[in-house]
Amino acid sequence: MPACLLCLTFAIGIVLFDSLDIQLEYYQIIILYTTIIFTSLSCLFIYKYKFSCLVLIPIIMTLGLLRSHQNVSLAKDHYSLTQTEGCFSGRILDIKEKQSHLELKLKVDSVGDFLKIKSSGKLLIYWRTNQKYIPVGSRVVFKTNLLGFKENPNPSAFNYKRFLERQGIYHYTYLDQEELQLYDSEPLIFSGLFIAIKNRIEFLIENHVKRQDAISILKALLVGKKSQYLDQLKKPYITSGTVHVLAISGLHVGCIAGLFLFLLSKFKQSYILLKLFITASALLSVWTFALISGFSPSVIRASSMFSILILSNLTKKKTSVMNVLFVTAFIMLYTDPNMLFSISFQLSFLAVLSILLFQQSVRDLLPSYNSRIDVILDLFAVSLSAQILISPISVFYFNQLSIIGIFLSVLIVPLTAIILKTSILGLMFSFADFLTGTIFYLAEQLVVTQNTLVQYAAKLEYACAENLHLTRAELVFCFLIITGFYLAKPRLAPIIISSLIILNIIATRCLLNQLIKPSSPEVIAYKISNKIAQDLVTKDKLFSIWSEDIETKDYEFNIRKNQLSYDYSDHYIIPLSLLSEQDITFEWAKTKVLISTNPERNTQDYYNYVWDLSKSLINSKKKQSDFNSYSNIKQQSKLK
Amino acid sequence: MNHLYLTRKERKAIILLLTLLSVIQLLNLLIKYQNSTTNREMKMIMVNHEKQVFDTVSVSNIDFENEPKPIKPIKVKEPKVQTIDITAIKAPVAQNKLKPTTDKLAIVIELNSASPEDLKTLKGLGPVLSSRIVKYRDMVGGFHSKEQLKEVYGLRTTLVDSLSSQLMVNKSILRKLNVFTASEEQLSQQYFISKYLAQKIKRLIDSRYTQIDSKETFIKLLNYDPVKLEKVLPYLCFEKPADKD
Repeated sequence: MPACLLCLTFAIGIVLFDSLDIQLEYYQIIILYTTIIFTSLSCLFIYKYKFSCLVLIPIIMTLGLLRSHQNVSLAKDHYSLTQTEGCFSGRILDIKEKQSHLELKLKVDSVGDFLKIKSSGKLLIYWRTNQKYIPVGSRVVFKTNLLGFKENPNPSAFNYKRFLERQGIYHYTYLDQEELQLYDSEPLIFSGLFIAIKNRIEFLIENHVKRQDAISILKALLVGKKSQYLDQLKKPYITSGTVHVLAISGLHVGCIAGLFLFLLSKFKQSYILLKLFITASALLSVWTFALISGFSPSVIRASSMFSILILSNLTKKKTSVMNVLFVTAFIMLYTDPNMLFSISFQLSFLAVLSILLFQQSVRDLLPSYNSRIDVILDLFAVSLSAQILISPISVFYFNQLSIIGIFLSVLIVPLTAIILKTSILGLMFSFADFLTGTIFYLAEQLVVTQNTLVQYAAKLEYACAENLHLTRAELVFCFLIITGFYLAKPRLAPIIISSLIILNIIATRCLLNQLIKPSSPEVIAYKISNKIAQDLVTKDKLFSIWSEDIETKDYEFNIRKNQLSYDYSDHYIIPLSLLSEQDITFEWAKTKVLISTNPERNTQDYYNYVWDLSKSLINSKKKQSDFNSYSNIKQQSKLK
Repeated sequence: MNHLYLTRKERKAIILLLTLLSVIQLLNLLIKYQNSTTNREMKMIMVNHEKQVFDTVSVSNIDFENEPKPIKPIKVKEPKVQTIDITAIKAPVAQNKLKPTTDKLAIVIELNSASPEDLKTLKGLGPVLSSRIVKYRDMVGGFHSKEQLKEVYGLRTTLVDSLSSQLMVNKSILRKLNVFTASEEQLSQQYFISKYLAQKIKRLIDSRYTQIDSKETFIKLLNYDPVKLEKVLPYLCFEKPADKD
């Protein structure tokens, strides 16, 4: 399995670079590259392959490190090295819909007010929704003062700045309609074709499907379109752990590829030309689908894997799917090392890896009856085995673990496959209006059924374990345990692991919390624009002193993750209006302060004051009604 | 562990792949460096040219004779920022149509002497708003504070606040009226002075000329709506002509 070592070591190199924050000079990079070349050549010619695999590890790791350094360091012609205010021109790469504005991703090609200097780099433009729509691919020119992103100073909050930096975006700007000039609204010929196909599919769906929810879901399934309405529809899918069917991935590529693979298997060796034709058309259709659906990491992964597999099938080479998976991962990481940190990439790869590693062992543990029941049991084995590597990641990023998802996937995945195949059939018959209408009506009914099923499952009491928390160290620990089990006893491992994983996550947290429990109370002041939110953590109680204008959005983005990292049994939310500011005296005290935006508020006196007040509030039942105004937020931050 | 084991063939393949990738990267790097050095040379020539233009402009210190308080240094967040008065560099920039691009320059615009074109360079000000600002300034006789921009129709408070770091006000350029010498008609032509107020001021000056020796006594004796008077006062000066004494 050569690709396994190659890919894993390369990934470690990328992680090393990211965590150590290495800055290399030009000559150092050249020296390192030359060393790699000489070492490899000496391995080839002097030692004549008698070297150990261990020699390869530092070489690949250095290559990973250098590759990500090259990717992160600004290009010599990056626009920010010339100017950050003035004239910019470039092409719109991507548009994201937000609540009140659009987010345009621009690829800069030249800067300068009077002298046009050829440049590279990307930047974000915030564009109000009520302004003229700018299509993807259009060339724009504007004059602006670019602004840099600010880091979110709240503990454990999502680092949006880092997230964008990994995509090569360092600046943003707000533009009005009169500040921007559109040079040519016609997109490029190549991407224009895909946009045209995408628009045609959307038009067909809108024409033949009546219900708004079915339209949103079908658009998400077929062209990967994300909308505001879809975000609402997604919620029950997230709770029930079946949201992966809405993101275009292997399932979707597999549906298209399956048809061609079926055809290929029917022809014998004699029809080489026919085989070539089918292979070519399969590759074309799969990559067209990938381009239409927005080229997300999971689609690239699925399409690349399929391409390698189908090509090796043509040349009759013996292949292992695991090797193909790692080769694909290596190619993707080599082209863009930052992809390693994309959640979509991580989930997609770990799910496939998990299935490849554990599916057989899990299936062996389940009984087999007759062929019909076995199909269901097979699906269950796939669903369960995928969860083994996915669950720690899911808890780490989304703070939840869907329990019902393992069982529900058995129903939802085939249903989505049927919906997909039906709608593709509908698109193929788009020349006959009546036929398309009928097929899409069927697809619509299936989507409605799927929605109802998911919504019902999401409402079940123990559908999802919420408010879980894992730190980075604990995540690594979880993976180490899984690897340990896998290496020790591959056959017994899955059942132990799957049951242990949930226990493991909770137990590790409890254990660590007991060990590192704060002895002194902590005051955490959050920075949320013009709003005051402070948490006071004692051994088992959490008091949230929030101003009245804290919204659910503020809570989700800035406070929730940090609160989850504490282990508390009672949570009280105290409106700020109940406290009077006159009682605060400015004095630093023993209170341990993690982060402070209003340092004058983090005082021992203030803490004592809040403590007394909270106690009196809790004791008097009358005043507890004041908490009800926060019922919405409180519900989410309920006890673990 | 067998996933990590490599056969001799596989080892050979990987080492070949690594060599190939490294050679490609190295060549790529060298070619890029070659291009960037020629680019840099060109850029340097350009920068030098700009520098020459820039050096000819002396950044003058503006005299604020009538200013009671010294102007506070403008707070700029970025560390390597120079603040330059645009009034000083306006002319050469307009002639040469060149703008220094290499250094980050936070150009501060003086409101009372800026042209609509100068104002247009500010983020958030289009041609309409900037000409409106100039029109308003000419009408009232100049701005006495940055906050006064909020009085201009169509300028949002948030925009004014965001622009304030890039603006400054030279009060010495304000069109001021001397209460002791100005006629009633001249006074009433001031944007903020109504006919009634002009009449009242003139009467006061005529009747109590000797008692008024400062701004404070004037306010006291005039006995007028303080909010309205506050708007007017920056445009008035209280210097008694020598011959009348």
